[in-house]
Amino acid sequence: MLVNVITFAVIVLIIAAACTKLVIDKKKGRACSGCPHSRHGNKGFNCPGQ
Amino acid sequence: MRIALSGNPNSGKTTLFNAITGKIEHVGNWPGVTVAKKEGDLKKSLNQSGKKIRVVDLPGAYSLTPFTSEESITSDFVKNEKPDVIINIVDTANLSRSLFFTTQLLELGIPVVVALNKSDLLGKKGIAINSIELAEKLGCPVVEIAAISGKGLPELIEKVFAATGKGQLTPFRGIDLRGADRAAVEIDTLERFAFVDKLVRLIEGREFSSHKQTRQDAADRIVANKYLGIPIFAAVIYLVFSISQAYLGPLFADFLVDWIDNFYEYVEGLLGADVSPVLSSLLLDGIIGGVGAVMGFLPLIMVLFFLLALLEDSGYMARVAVVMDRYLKRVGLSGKSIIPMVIGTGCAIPGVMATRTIRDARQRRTTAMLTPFMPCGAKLPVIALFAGVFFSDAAWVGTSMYFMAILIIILGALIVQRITNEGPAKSYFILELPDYRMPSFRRALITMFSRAQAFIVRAATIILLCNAAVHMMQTFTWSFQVVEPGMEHTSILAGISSPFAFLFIPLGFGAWQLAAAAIAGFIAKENVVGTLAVVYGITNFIDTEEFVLVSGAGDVAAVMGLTSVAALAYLMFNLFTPPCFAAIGAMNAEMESKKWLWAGVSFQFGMGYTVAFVAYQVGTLLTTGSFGAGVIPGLIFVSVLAGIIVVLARNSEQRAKTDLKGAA
Repeated sequence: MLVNVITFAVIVLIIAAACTKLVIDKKKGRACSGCPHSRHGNKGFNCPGQ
Repeated sequence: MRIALSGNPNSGKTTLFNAITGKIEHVGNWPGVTVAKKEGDLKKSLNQSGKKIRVVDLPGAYSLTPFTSEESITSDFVKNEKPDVIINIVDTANLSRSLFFTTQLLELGIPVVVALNKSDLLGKKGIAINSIELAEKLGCPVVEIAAISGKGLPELIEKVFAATGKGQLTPFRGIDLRGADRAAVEIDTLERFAFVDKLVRLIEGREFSSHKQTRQDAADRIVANKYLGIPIFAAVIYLVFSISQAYLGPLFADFLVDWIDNFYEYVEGLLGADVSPVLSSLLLDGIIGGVGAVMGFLPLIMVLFFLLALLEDSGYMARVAVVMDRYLKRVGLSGKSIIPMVIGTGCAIPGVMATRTIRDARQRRTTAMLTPFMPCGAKLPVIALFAGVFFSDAAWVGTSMYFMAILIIILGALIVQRITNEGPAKSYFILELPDYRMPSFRRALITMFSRAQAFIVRAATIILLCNAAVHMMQTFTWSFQVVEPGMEHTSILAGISSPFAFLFIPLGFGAWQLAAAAIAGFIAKENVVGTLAVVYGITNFIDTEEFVLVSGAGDVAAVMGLTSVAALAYLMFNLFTPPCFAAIGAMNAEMESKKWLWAGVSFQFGMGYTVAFVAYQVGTLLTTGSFGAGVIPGLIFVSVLAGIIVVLARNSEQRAKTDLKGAA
């Protein structure tokens, strides 16, 4: 039983970490998570986070 | 305090920016790499003030009267945001052209420090510049630097601090161009050039003969030759794919896959036999197995990007743009469209963003629509997987997909040209060819690790989440019961993907597993590999025993139930249908037209389907003597697509004729 709870918690933790990273990148204006050259805002120069 | 870096395209602004901030922004040995402003803090080793100094890298511009959107970024920033100091980067090999822009910056009243970049090459090129006299004539400090090696940077920053808060002399005062008519602008331009020419004659000495052929010229005669250019490019790309996917890449991949396998076994041992099979399978097969299958291709991608970065840095890719201009011009595009396409081989998103350097709206939108056809980093694992499983020679598959993408782009541009009823491109493509140079291993390594980081982050986020979702949907039925062994077709995943699989029968891959992988690929293309690993229960696509790309290739192919021809069709479908959602978002931002966006995405779907259909049916006919399954419905569907294009093209032609009559 305990091993199931731990395994479930590990899976939830992994998924939550992945989701958090995606949300943070989205807030930073990264269109493609992880890609350092894919930040884009408006066509003008006021790109958020750049 | 803010310092703006400004200068002509390809003068080395981003190289200087990286050198003084410690950042690793993408640099390229050709104009137009930077299309948006970038910011960073001055390195502590150069900053003696103790204050926070912000450095802003601006896109290249030839003048403060902008022609393209990225030029207007520079113009707007220096005029409206009033940085404390402007570092004007001047390419010493092109002093006349660079100083034209300098004289405009000096009129703004903001302190300017001129950085004479690439000064280490002056002796080699037989150029001598009297920088002391130049500083006197311009009325601002002038520092000789070499951003690439770091020469002169402390002195440059010292001059920047000294200039802060002071005014700026103006050696040439032009007319106020706001509201000025064309004739006045022309007069101002001529007078400014005359001033710059006089100045350059005074401070620059050159030892050259105009009819003397350099080694650079001799190389260009071969590499950019009308007939030899394309075969040389094909050979170079073949070599790149050979090294990355058949030799060096798998050599490194072996170590990584071995490590992933050990990690899988370690976690399996930790879980033991008491853990729930559903949880165990989700963690081992869904998360570790799915992500591991994608990660196994990381070394192949790293080697590929390392080699592509070397090519770009050497100046070769600028020649490719010149070679391709000849063909693209005929279909309404220009060599300028090649730059986004080359950038798109890393990731389609910055590639699409780079289209903003194209002035003509139709060309820009067409390029944004066609750039995602290039095989980006996310598509490479898919190519490597299918090349390894179904074809013994991995390198030709990658190379042919690369050139297939170029052919589709040319065909696509031709179709758009007909639909929009435009003639051949009227604008000329003028590209200042950068000198060939020994590519920097350091910069190539930075590019490689930057791409690797992106790949790992994607694998650990979007790919992981998708694989977990796919695994869950495969584990449960619609009534949330665990799927019985052998009853996988009752799973949620099979239920969702089966209708799509039906549509793919004419393309040779009517299995729901393959349909599920193709659908997951629209979220991120690496998902095709991850989903196939999850649905077929394969955790290792790369051999750990031998340096063969894919382990048990025959077994994997048998499990998928595909012929080689159907596999090629499946690969083409995944490469040439719309890119991931994020790239579609970038297309939306650059096209600035919902009509163009939807037309573009529909076109990409139609193109991917048609190419896969033709590849499967023609290939099956050639290999077996008869057509494959679903040829009639497929033919009807493809004919309808072709009919729509013909009708749109005719309507456009009719409209043009009516407009012409109306005008007459």
